[in-house]
Amino acid sequence: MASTTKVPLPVPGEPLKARGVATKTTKRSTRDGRGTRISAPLTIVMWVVVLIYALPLIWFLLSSFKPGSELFSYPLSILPREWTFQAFIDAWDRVDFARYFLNTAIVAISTTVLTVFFSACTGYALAKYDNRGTRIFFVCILATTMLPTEVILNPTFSVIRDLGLYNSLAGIIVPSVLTATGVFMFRQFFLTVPDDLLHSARIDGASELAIFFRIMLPLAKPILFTLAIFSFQWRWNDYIWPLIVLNDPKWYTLQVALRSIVGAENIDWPILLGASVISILPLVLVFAIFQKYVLNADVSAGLKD
Amino acid sequence: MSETTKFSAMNRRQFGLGALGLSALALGLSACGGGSSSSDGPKTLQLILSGDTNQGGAFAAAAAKYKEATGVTIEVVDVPSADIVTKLKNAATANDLPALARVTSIDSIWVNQLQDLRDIAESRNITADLLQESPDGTIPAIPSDLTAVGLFLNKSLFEKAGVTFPTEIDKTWTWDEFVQAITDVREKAGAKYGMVMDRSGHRVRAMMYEFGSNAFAKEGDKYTSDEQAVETLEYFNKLNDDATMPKSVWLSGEDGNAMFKSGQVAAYYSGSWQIADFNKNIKDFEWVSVPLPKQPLTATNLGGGFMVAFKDTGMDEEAKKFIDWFYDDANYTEFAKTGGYLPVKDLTIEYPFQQSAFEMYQKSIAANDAKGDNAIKRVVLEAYADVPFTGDPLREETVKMLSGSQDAKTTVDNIVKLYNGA
Repeated sequence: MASTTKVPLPVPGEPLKARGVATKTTKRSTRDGRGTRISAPLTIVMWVVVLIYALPLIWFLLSSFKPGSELFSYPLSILPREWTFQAFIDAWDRVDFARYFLNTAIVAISTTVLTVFFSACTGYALAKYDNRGTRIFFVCILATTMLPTEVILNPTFSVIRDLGLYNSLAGIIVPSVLTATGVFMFRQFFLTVPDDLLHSARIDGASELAIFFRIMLPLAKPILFTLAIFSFQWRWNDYIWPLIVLNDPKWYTLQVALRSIVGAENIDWPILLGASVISILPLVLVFAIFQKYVLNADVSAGLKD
Repeated sequence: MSETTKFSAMNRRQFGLGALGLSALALGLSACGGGSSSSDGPKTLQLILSGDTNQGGAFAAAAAKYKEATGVTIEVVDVPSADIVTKLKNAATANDLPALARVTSIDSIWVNQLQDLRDIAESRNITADLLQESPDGTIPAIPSDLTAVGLFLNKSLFEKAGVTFPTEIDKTWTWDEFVQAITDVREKAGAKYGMVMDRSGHRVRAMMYEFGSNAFAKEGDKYTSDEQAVETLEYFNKLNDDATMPKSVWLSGEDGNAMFKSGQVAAYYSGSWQIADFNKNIKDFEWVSVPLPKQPLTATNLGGGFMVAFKDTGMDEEAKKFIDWFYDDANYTEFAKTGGYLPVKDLTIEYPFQQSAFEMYQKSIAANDAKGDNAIKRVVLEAYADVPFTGDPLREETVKMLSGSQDAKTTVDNIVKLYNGA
């Protein structure tokens, strides 16, 4: 009996087990199947989007290695038939990169440092010192995002000119220091930091500035890096405002200086391509170094809202 | 302690420190930059120009040579070509004009602040056709470098199609013969288009001269038009049929230079400034400079830059001395050679490349029978107009005609109206 009971016991058990395994595997396989069925097209879409974004850039990069005679030859080819570095050599000779890199670096770095600092301060104040004054102030800051830059270009220019900052690097640095985006990013972040931290620090006798610099700012590191990288990128690529404010070629930033390659009657394409590629290198370098912060910070910044 | 009162917890000392830090920062900022007013030595003259480095740095080389010869520094400031007009306008209103400038257009704002260069123009034998007197009898500007409208052919395509082309000015073709030739090339050699012409009033004006028009010359104090201008535009409209000429160049701003370089176009109606570029950047086919078609006149249109010297910069005499030195035969020959410029005086120049192409242009300038004033003279004259017009009416109205919104006659009438400041 026992044997008979023992024998059949594993029998239903085995199929059960087997069924269990089977159901598990079928479950997994259906999940996988459904997974690939969904993910395959999504992946394809992703690659299409990647291609759409990458193609002009790849073409641009590869074209800079083409000799001038190949740029417009028919039929067009993506890969250079003859690789040459002549465009870079000519561009380096033609454009005073040292000066323009320096100008652009001064602008980008000082603006970035100031932007991050002021945005952090402002964002912190707006998040943690909650009274009517700061709330009105916050609305005012938000309001500045509602006017496109082009609309306030003229009044900003008048202010800069009357301050005596026309035709100086300070004229591009000062107006771009405070961005509503940066303030907003920091405010949203500091809202998520529990007030208890503040209270306990105060009980321990920390001054307000110490709390900000020694507790809050280190906490905000991801936001700090994100804003720093974005700000650096914005200033590096800035074109319209430097174009309006700078008058003397010796203060030109890189983007404005590249314009002189565009002649009145024709454009020196090989040199323009070479110079443009050189001009994006520092930014690529910055991105390569801080990449993990950008990606990380983007994810967490997305979660904070 | 409620959240709302925390602000007062930041004590005065801290606030004061913060404020001090901020103002120090602001000070530091305004110090970096600024102060561009030239307080250099007394022997430095500024020469503002655009596009010199693109043209082999001929002006910079001349300035360096001048420094060697006389010890006077000419600081060459190369401004992007799109900015030079604004830059000089601002300089004029701020009373900060440079001693010298090389410009392609003359602004009515500063035209009265130009020095009279008549004595230099005469003593250095500048071609008289290129000099325009101001209403009060001065010569405010001397052309520094000359360009001329001309025709380029894709020789390889012509040879493939077995179509011949003229190489001498006195044996040139008419527009009808030229259009027939490029149509043959297009059909036999498989070119995509017969020709392209730059999207520019300057080029259409050259075509008008060839058709015998005076191309909106000024008679008395009004700009006028003639029948031939209408005829030219009608002819031009017919050419823009997306076979003989692509519509995309004039209507959507496609680059004619790039299209010709692709080897897909039989002929390119452009000018002498392309020679250096083609010499370097066309390797896939052979190209050649040929005489412009006539219908019935042999004509071209001239362009280029002017050398001007401003009054009351404290350097008036030094500026004129440099200009005088610049137009000396030996110095000017070297300048023209370096930059690939056509000379503004009767000189034989050995160019480092494409000698025959440059000679073709020099011959076509010599044979120019155009009725109206060339662009070089017009640019100076227009600066003295009571109501200066803006933009390029000839180009803009022609574009309207090509898009089908008006006929040739209306186009010509509108152009005259715009030139006269309506």
